[in-house]
Order: sequence, then C-alpha cells, then structure tokens
Amino acid sequence: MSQAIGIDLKKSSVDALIAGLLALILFGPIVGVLLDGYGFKTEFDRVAWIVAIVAFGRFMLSCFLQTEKGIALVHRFARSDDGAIVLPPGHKSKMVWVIPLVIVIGLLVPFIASKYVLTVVILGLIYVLLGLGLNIVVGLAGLLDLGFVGFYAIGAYGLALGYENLGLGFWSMLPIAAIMAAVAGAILGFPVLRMHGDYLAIVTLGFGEIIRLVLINWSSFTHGPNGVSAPLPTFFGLEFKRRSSDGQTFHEFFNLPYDSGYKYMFIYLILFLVVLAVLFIKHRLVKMPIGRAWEALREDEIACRSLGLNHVLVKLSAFTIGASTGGLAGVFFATYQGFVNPSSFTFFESALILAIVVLGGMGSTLGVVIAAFCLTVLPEILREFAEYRVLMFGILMVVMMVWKPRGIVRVTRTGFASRKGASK
Amino acid sequence: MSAFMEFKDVDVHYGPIQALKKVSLTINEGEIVTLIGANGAGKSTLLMSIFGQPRISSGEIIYRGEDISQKSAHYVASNGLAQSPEGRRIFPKMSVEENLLMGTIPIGMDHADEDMQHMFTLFPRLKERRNQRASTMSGGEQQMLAIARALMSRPKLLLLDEPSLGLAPIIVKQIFQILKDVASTGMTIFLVEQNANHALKLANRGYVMVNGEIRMSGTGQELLVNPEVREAYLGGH
Repeated sequence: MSQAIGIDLKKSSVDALIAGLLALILFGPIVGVLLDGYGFKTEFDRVAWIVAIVAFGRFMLSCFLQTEKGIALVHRFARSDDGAIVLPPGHKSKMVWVIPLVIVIGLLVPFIASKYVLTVVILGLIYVLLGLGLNIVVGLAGLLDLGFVGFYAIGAYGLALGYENLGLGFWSMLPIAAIMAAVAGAILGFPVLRMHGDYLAIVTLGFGEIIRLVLINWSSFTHGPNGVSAPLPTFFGLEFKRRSSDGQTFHEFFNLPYDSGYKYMFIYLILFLVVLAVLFIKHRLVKMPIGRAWEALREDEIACRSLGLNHVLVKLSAFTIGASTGGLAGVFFATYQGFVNPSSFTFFESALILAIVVLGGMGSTLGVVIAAFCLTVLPEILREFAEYRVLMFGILMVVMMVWKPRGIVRVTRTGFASRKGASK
Repeated sequence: MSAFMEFKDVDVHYGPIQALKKVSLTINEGEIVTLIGANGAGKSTLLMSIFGQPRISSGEIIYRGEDISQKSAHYVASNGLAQSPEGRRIFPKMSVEENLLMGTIPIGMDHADEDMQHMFTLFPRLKERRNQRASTMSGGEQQMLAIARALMSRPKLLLLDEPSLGLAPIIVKQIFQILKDVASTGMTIFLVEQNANHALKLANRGYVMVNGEIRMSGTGQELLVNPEVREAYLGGH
C-alpha cells in the first residue's frame, strides 16, 4: 500500500536516523546523566527510549508527509501569500447580523454565568482592551512596543492612588486615568520618534520596567511592593459593599440579599460597554485618514514624509490613543482586583499582550478579540497543567507561526475610496 | 522667467565626509532640468536635501523666494513640491487607488476624484489595476504609480529620482514619453537620472555632477553632443 503512493522508505529512514542522532545529542547529557551527591550515575535506558520514540515519530511523520494528504498539508504551510486582503470599496459584509447577536449575548452573560465564569470573562475583556490598544501601536502603526504594561500600570495605580490621595472614585478616575496614560504615551513617544524596530523595542521595554521599578521603590507614595487597595465602582452613588459607612448600599436600596456577585456583574456590564465603545471608535479610526496614515507609516516612512505626512503627529497619535486604551484597561483591572501591586505589571504581561496581537493577526480587530479570550480563558480551563503554562504558550506560538503566520484572523479591509465632500 | 528654485553654494556632510561641495543650481518656472551623474556622485543627496534629509551644512535652498533648507519635510512637501522617490517607495499593501489617495495629503481630498480620473487617462495601465494591491504590479507600473501619486498633490515642481531605475529599456521609453506629456502641460520638472541619454533628450537644461560638484552645465542638446559627457555617460557612441 505504501509503495503505491510512492513513499520513499530510504528517505524516511535517513530522516529518522538524523532525528534520532539529534535526540541522542540533546537528551543524552540531560536525561542520561543523573547527579547523585558529588558523583553521578548513568541511565542509558531512558535515553534509549526517548531516542527510539523520536526516531520512530520522525519516520512516521516523514512517511505521512509523502502521502497525498501530507503533501497537501505541506502546501498549506508553504503558502506565502502576504499582507491584507483588500476588498473593493463599498463592500458590505453579510455577517452584520452577528454584531447585535453578540451584544445581546454579552449583555445576558452576567445573569446566566456563575461568579467564577464571570470573573474569567472580565479578565478576558480586560485583555481585549489591552490587545486593542497595543494593536493600534504595533498592528496598525508598526511601532514595536514592549513596554505596553507601563500604561496598564498607570491606569491601575491611577485609580488606586487617586482614590487614596484625592478621594476620586471609579467614575472620575476612568477618564482621568485614560488621559494620564495618553500623556505618558506622548512623553514616551517624543524621544523615540526617530527610532525603528529593534531600537524602539528596547526603549519601550525600558519604559515599562521604569514604571514598574518606580512603583516598587517610591514606597512613600505607592506603598512599594505592599500595593494599594482600589475602590469599586458605584451605581449612582450606591456602593457594592456589605455595609456602607455613608448612606445606603446597593443591596439595601433594592431590598436584595447581599451577594458579592453583584459587583462583578456591574463591573462586567461597564467593561462590556467600554469595550464596545473602543471597538466602535477603532473601527471608525481605521477608516479615517489617520488610520490610513498609520498603515502607510508602517509600510514606508520615507514615502510618507515625501508625501507631506507629518510623521510626528501620526506616530504620537498612535502612541497616545493606544496608551489611553491601556490606561482604561488598568482602571478596570484595579477595580476588579480591588488591589494593585507592582508584581502585576511585569514584562511577562507585556509579552502576553504582544502575543495576543501577534496571534490575533496584526491589525485585525476580530483576531485580537479572539486571541485575548484564548490566552486568558485557556489557562483557567487548563488549571491542572498550570506548571506547563509557559511551555504550552511557546508551543502555541510556534504552531501558529508555522500554520498561520498572519494570525488567527487575517486582516481584511475594505478598500478606501474617496467620497464627495468627505474632506469638508 | 524667474528662478523657481535655487541652490546657492550648498554643502552637505555625512559625518566627516563631504557629499556636496558648493553646489549651485537653478530651476526656472516651466523648465525641465536634469541632473546627471554616476553612482554616488551626490545626485540623490541633493534631491533629498530639499526635504532636509540630510540637512545642508551651509548654503541656501531658495524656493519661491523662501529659504526652505531648515524646514521640516512635511512642510516642504505640502507647499507645491512633490517627489517620486528613488526606488519608487509605493505602499505595497495598499491598492492602486489608495496609493493615489495618499498623494492628496498636502491638498486634501477636494479634487481627489477629478485628479484620479486625470491620472487614469495619463496612465491607462493604472486604471486596469485600480483595485489591485500595488506590490503585485510590475516595476514599470509601480514607477508609473509613484509618478502619478506625486502628481496627485497638484505640485508646482515635480521632483523625480531615477524613474528609470531597474526598468527594461522599452518601459523606460514609455516612462519618458509620459514625462514629456506631463511637461507639455507646463509643469516644472527636476529630474535626477543616471540614464543620461534619455534625460538629456527630454530636458531643457542639464547639470553634470561628479563627486559632489557640478562639473558642467548647459542645454540638454549641448551636453548631449559634448565629447566629455559622451565619453563618461553615454558609452562613447
């Protein structure tokens, strides 16, 4: 049967041999030699098993790739079509009915889901916000930002410290934190305007670390590693606590039994509306001249400047709009946790947000939403494998880059056409 | 005719290296002026110094009575100067139409439709490919797109950096024919070229640059028959 399709057994055997040899070199010292006090003992049977498994696996894989199905698979990998699909101008998607459906489901979630599920979904939505913010900077404007967590931290600490020092609650800090993060984005944006690629990545990485280190070390203001507690949102002045020192609480006012789930429901609903608003704004921005300017800048900065595009404004706008979205996410994170401390804003967090953007598909809104939920919900489902979380992350990344290098959802955008009077 | 753009004793340094030495050059209104020279002579440096990339270290660049040598690139580009940069630099992932619309940045979208129709009559190939991604076109079509994009801003002075770069001779001929058509509308053109033969035939006046200095100047015809130019740039025949 194998001969009929034309499997070259010799080639497969050579493949298997090479793979086995590599496995021997790789696993020999790691698995075969076991430290025992000051000496060591050798366990060659384990190495032999591993090498045998690798060689056999490679042999089977090699055989499979020579079958018709395998060849088709390889072709899917090798497809090197690149860039966004441009639809003709005025294209209307047939999937428009999905949007109201998603909104209705989204609004129903808190009344159906358990408290645990709700908290996971809230975390997912926070990462959606972060992903959308970074998507503007990285996906659209092409500025690799490894310090995005800095803006997230500014938002979160803005709420906590604003409450502690100025007595400002959730509702006043929500816009203020977004503005603070935007200002921080502009401050970061100015010095890095001349930088590209790797250099920009290093500077932004440094920015993220600076924010975290300031939060740790400026203990008189930020309470250092001890963290600060953050307030909950209020429902028209009604608090979600069991007992309130001033005035009525939410459950007393509505004559409901106390349930700590109410606050999550409320946070969820606000967050959901904010995410919808951000999605809508982003959708519009992409279609506006500024959105096209971002994309043009990503493709060729020199051409943009020779066309009279003010690259300073365009880059800064990407930085500030992206950062303010990150700040919003920070506020929600702080109020959802009820407490912030610097260990929530490590580089790993930045890498996670970047992974969301890359996995989702650079510049693709839908992709970012899907990826954000995947990367936050999956670790919750796979709690038993918590130790292997980062390993699975790595595997997921590698598989994605091989399988779908343009991300989960490839960017499809409607071609832009001039409208009469559009510029007036 | 008045001087439309004038370089006065322009020096440019890249670190310790002097790329342009006391270059003076005049472009009059309605003229086609060409700058020819070998690789690395400083032609593109001169063109880019108009946009402040690099900044000139001494001298003046006067454009319509104003010294623009210290202005920012986007200021210069929004004041009636448009260029088709070296190596075309179109936006590969945008469609042809979108590329053309990017050219309207300095003047806004008021005339976009009308101008685009005009471009499509000038470059019929672009009309066929209007919704195609620019990277999927041939080199010649991409060059046409780069020129059309520059024209979309209704420039008073069109700057062209090596429009013949990497193109087949027959395509180069087409491109120069189109440039002739554009020039016949009264457009002032400053053409930087290595292809001296085509450039000098098209141009009213020409300058020859060697090692960052203007070595010769004259009308296109004069330079075309000049034995030194023929020897150095026209392959001696």
